[in-house]
Amino acid sequence: MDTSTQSGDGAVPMRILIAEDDAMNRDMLTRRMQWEGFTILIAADGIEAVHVARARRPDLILLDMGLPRRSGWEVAAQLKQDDATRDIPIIALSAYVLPEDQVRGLEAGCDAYEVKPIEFDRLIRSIHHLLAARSPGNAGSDTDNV
Amino acid sequence: MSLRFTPYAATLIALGVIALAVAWYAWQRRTIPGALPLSALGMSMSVWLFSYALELSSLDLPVALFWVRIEYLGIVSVPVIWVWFAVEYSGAASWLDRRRIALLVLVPLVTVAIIWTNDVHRLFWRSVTLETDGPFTVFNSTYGAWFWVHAVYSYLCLLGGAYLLVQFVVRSSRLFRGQAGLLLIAVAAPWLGNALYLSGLSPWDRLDLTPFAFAITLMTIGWSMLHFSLFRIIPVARDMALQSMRDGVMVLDDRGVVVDVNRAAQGLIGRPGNRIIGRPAGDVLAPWADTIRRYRDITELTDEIGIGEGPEQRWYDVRISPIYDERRVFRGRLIVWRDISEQHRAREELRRNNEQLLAAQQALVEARDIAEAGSRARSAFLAHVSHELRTPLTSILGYCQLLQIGLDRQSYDETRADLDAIRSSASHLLELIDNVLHITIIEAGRTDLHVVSFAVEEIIHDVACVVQPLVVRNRNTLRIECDPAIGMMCADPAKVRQILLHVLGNAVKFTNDGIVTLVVTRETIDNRQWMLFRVTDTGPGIPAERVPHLFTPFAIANDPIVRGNKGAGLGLAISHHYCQLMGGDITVASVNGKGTTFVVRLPVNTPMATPVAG
Repeated sequence: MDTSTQSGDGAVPMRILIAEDDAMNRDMLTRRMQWEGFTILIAADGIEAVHVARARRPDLILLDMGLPRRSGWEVAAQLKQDDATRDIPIIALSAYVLPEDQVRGLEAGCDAYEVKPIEFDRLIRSIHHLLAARSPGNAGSDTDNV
Repeated sequence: MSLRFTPYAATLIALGVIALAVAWYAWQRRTIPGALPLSALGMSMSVWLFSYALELSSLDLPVALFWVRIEYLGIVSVPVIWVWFAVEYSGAASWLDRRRIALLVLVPLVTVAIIWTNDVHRLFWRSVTLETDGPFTVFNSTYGAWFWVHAVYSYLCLLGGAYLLVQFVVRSSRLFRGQAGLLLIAVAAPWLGNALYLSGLSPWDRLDLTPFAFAITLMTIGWSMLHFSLFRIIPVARDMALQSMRDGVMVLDDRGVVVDVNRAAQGLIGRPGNRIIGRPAGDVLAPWADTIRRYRDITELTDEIGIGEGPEQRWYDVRISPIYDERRVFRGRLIVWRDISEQHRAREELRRNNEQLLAAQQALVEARDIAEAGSRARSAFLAHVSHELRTPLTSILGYCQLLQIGLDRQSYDETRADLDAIRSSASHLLELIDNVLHITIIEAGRTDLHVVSFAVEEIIHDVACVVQPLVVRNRNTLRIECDPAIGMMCADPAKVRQILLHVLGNAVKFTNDGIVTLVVTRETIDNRQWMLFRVTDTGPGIPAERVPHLFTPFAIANDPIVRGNKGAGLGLAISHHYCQLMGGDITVASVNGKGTTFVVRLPVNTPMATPVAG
């Protein structure tokens, strides 16, 4: 499940795992993220998401909270407990919008929480911010506001 | 007036002085029960003794007769005062009312009147003479009829008084032996004196010993009062206290035989004292046999016991204390019981009220919990609805943005696919909004049925057409088994259609590469015609723990297991309500991993007045 597109500036494309069970949402997100220059990995449920994250070690994960088989909260918690995947930034993408849902998401280990419908400008800023913070070369030079 | 004093007269006068002293002494203590009659007795005795002395000293008949008449003032009053004394001393003063006093003094008054008028009618003495016998001048007479009336009356009074005192002594003899002995001497003296005089055994056969004897009585009582003055009222007081107590008191000896019982206990047992005292406690308290058995060997106890059943039940506070004599030898038991039925009833009522209060409080807490749970469920439902609406909206807005950005960089087919996705998500959104609306109407109890007759096969065909695209998308096979002769049914066709759409839609939506079968049959159960719609799929099945919550919308939203699983949402809850509304039901059987079967059962003829469920 690997669809990749070279980003415009020729740098090595960042790989993003999209864990989303709704087919249309997944398709829409995939295309949109490809247009932003990312290489996309896909998972349709929680167990698959954990599997792909471990096997392919993406640079960032867009994680739906309402995944079947294993919820997004569980997936986030599991990945953050695992040394192999702990460093991968996770952005929760969820239609659960209550404050307590967001708190739960952040407590589970998500680095950011974006609600559906998605505000793409915000999401893309957040992605770049997290990727920049993670990249050793850019460490400490990050000034973006999220 | 010719008088000659003799040593005997001097003795009588001395006794008369003592009698006066006793009268004075008693008068000073007249508030003590028995003191006032004792004082009166002293006065009467002194009159008797003085005038007897003067009678014996008289030298001629008129003088002697005068003193005899004075003497009789004392003689007739002594028996009546004796009764008065006995009654008061033994604690029965209330017995002496105005009428009884009048009756008591009637005979003495008549006697005095007759004595003073004897010369006219000679009813008392038929003849009187004066004889000299040794040192005495003796008044001699032959008695008339009234004398015997007087004599009998006097003896009756003495006897009555003696009876009261002896009875009192017997009752209190255990505790106050010295005083009782003196009282018995006082009672016995007049009888002894009289017996001596009448039997002729007296050394001075012409001398009436009665006044001497009464003088002894008087002095004995006076001495008793002097010596036991501290304790004198105690037996009376104790007896009165015991008798007037509202608590039942019973004394048993060491063999369990009743030796004393007070009035309250008699009332409670329902027998007079003389049928209780002297009998074993077990016989007396036969109706309480159980209680007796329980307490037979207990010498010390404080307990509450209930006797009788139902509204007649009485409650008693029972105290049993051992009685030891001064050498610490066990002599018996004291049983005191108090009727505490009122307190008990009040306490029971308090307890019941308390329980009711607690129950009411519990009910309130439960009602509050239910309300809170309802409120929480509603919030969870709204959160769920919000989540469900946001999912297709995310697609719609996402694709719109894709089109905005990429219309000129993507192919015509891609654009058309995006528009299809938008349309499909919008339809899904509309369906969700419809379902929320339906469930809200159902919850508000405002669902109307429009019952008409319709062909079942037409609806089946229609529903099959609607779900066909989903069947194809998930690569399923849909089988419809419906007898062409299945005929008509009478129900709300729109709701039947919705039920079948939900159930069949779920089956094809959650099954991939499988078989979904709809079997329609007409069956007779309990003399009623039913239309059965059986939807079977070969999908993943429903986890057992989710099955009980399938048909309750709020519970689904509130269920953490279900939460996070999209789709099933409200359709089953709505279907469940609609089935009930038309007098039918919907049931589910599922094997995890094998598939699920929903059975929708509806009456062929929907009853017109069906209670609205939900």
